[in-house]
Amino acid sequence: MGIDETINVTKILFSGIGVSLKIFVLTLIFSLPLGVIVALARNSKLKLISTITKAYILLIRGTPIMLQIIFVYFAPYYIFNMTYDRFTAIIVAFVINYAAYFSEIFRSGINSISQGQREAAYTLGFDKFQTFFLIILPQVIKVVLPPISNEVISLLKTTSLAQIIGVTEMFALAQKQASYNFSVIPLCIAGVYYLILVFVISIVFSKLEKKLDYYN
Amino acid sequence: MNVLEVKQVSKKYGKLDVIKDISLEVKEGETLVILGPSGSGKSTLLRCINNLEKINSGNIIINGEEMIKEYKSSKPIYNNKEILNKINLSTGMVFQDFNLFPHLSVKENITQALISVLKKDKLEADGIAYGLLKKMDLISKANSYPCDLSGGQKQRVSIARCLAINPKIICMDEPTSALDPELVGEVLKVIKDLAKEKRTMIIVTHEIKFAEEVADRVIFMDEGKIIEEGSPSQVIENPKKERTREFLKRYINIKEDKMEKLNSNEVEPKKVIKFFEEISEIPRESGNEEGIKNYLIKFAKERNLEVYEDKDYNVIIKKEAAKGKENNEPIALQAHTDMVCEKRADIRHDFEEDPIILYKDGDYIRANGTTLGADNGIGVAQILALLDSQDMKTPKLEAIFTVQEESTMIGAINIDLSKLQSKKIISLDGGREGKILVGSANCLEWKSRLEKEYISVPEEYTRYELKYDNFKGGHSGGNIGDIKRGNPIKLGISILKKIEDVYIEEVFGGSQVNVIPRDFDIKFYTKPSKLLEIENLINEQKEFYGKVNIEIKEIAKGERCFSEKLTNRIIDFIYNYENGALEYVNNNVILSCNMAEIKEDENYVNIGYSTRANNLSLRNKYLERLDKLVKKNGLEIFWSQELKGVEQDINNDLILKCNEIYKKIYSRNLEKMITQGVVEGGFFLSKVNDLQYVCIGPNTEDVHSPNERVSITSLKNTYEYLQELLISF
Repeated sequence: MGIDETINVTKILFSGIGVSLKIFVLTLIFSLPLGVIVALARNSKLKLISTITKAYILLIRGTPIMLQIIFVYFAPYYIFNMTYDRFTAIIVAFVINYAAYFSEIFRSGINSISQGQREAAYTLGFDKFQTFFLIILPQVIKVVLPPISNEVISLLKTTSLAQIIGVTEMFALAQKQASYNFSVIPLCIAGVYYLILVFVISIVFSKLEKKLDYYN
Repeated sequence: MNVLEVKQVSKKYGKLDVIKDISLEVKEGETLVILGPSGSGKSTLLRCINNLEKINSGNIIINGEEMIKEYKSSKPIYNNKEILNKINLSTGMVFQDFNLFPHLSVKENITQALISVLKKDKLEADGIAYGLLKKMDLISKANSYPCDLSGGQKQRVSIARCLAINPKIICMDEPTSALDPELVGEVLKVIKDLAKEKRTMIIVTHEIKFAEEVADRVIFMDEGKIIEEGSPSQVIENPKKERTREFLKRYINIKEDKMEKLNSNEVEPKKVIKFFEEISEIPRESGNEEGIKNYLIKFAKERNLEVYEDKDYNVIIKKEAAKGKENNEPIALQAHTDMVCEKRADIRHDFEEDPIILYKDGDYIRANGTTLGADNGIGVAQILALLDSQDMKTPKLEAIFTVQEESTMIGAINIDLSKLQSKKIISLDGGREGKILVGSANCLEWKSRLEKEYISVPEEYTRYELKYDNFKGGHSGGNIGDIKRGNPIKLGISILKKIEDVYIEEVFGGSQVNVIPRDFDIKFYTKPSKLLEIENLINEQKEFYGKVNIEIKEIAKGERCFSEKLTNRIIDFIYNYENGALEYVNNNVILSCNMAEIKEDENYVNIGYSTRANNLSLRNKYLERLDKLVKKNGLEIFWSQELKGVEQDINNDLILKCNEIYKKIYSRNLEKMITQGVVEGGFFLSKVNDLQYVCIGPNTEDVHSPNERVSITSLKNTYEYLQELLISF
């Protein structure tokens, strides 16, 4: 591959980053709050709710994400003969998957806050809602930030799986260019793009961690 | 009005009853302190009141609102949220481990509930927070985070946070238990202030002294029940129930029932007792006399008396003669300012800090489980009373206060008596009414040693350990005449001497060179056939000495033992050492010796011993014998010292005068005593030519022990006698 082609491929792959980032951001927006809700449901005193949640987490963590993506997209078609947008399907699959992983991180974070915090809040008259959002959650966020950043980085790279149901993101383009040009350079360029993105994410998280460093 | 009513509340954790049918009431403005061992349910009770734990039966009524609405099939149904919220805001809780919100600043910790729960606007909330922080002396920390505060500051913030919602009742669950000792005070002070403001509080604490100060009422709990309830003075000072006493004993010194605080206004001689009280406030363990020295200097300056001190903190105070006695010879009075500090194992007392509280126990003054310091504080107090009096017709008085009599004698050794005009010293360090000390022993102490030599253990020898302990011991001066005390070092060695054919391996006995040994431990090798003979000898000794432990046992064989030469030297020296009282006059011992200690170091076996003599010619004969024995066994003397004795004409002016006055009052003679102990007078006599010295004092019992006590009647008699005596000069 000559310089011109390389520049051309670089541009083509860059146009694919948009889709990758869209998947990434939308997944985070939905899966993080869902993760908190799942964590609370998992901790619920109501047996039914906690059992269902446990089963959900087992199912998601126990099966390949590729299977889940394909299932989410094709199941409605096979069962109800209903089709829908591929992009929506990939977001749904990712949110369901990542909410499970995030929920376990949140749960360990919530459980790490001492009972004394809740008791102090109770005696001061905070209701359960206030206690959670004003007292517990802010402390949980500090605790869970490092493991969350791991998952977020993994999510960015997992966006490359979107192509299996035909959503064309950056890595799908890279593969196409590689076989078209008969060269690994497009793959390398994709790698560099991922690297840059992960680097940016790492910086964002370390900034966040620093910001919460004001207490320990 | 009752702010809180706990009605027959029980609480179980599974099958464990934590609270059993407890009822109590708290009035508005009352401070209730709950005491009790851990696991007694006191914290759980507080948690139930704060609805942090659900109760199993009974009811809790706070500010008129019932926590439990009703019982359905004996299960409690809690009231609705609205009422529980009301109750919740009526009670505040201060936790042992603070539970501050770490992500919020100090100010926000306080304002968060005001804003979110009580719906106050931010400005108002900030105002309340600053007000409370000012009260807690924490304004400067308003924007800090809890992690930057000390434990004491954290707990004060947590108290402020609790006060912010203005609860009717403040519950505190061991508020100082998680604090370093030096931070406890600041938190207790804040709580005391709240009590003064008449805040209603329930406090669970282990700070008994604080409880006594702050509580209006005290409850003692154990095993989930209230054992005792009443005012602090009832429950803490005079607990009725054995369990309460047992518990309190771990924290404070509970006095014996029959003892009452000594009141210096009621007990004669008032002035002496008043001064004794004052000096008992001052810690004065031997070697720590600066405080009492300062007291004496101040005493003299306040009365315009001439006063001297030296670098050892000895003090001399002089008082001019009464009118008409200016030309009479001055008289010196002497006492030592230090005391022996001993306490009973169950008593908390810091001899560097705590004053000694005086109690009256029948005719005795005593402390509560510690030495009293009547030896020689009661002497100091009598001298101060004499110096203080305005109207006594005495000649010029010179008061000598010495230091470290109980330890190094450094005060008596170093004191400069060149400023002393008097040729007569009356010491008040005596211990018996009707007796007068006129002579004391000269004491020689030695430490000598034998170099160690080892050989490997011969075949057919078995290793034994012979152990002596629980002997009475005692002072080599005062107690040496009592043969029943026995000397375990001598006894053990005498057994080895009798059975012969032994090799010593290890030897240890005694404690200090001026103390009669209490224990002895020797490991040695001998043939097993000797065991029966040893046991017979032990039984003979046990029979004679009574309640002592002597035992022999076989132990695993080692590799080496002392050489035959070294073994024989040790045995020969100790066996032939003349021990105990050697010579008497009437019933007084006048020559005695003490085999005090035998210890090993890396290269030597060290043996310490001493002799006390009131008669130097008898002693010199003895010293010749001892010298031969030392030389014969090749001992090297590496340390020795001489402590001077009191040797004087026992019919000198001073002694005759003392007797004459005593006879005038009691129509009988004083009994003249010669002690084997070392007294400070010996050193005084060696400094001043033609000095006359006597020592008197009231009856003191069990000196140097926590049972030390002084007889009030005897003190009164002695002090009256002393006054008569001084007026007669």
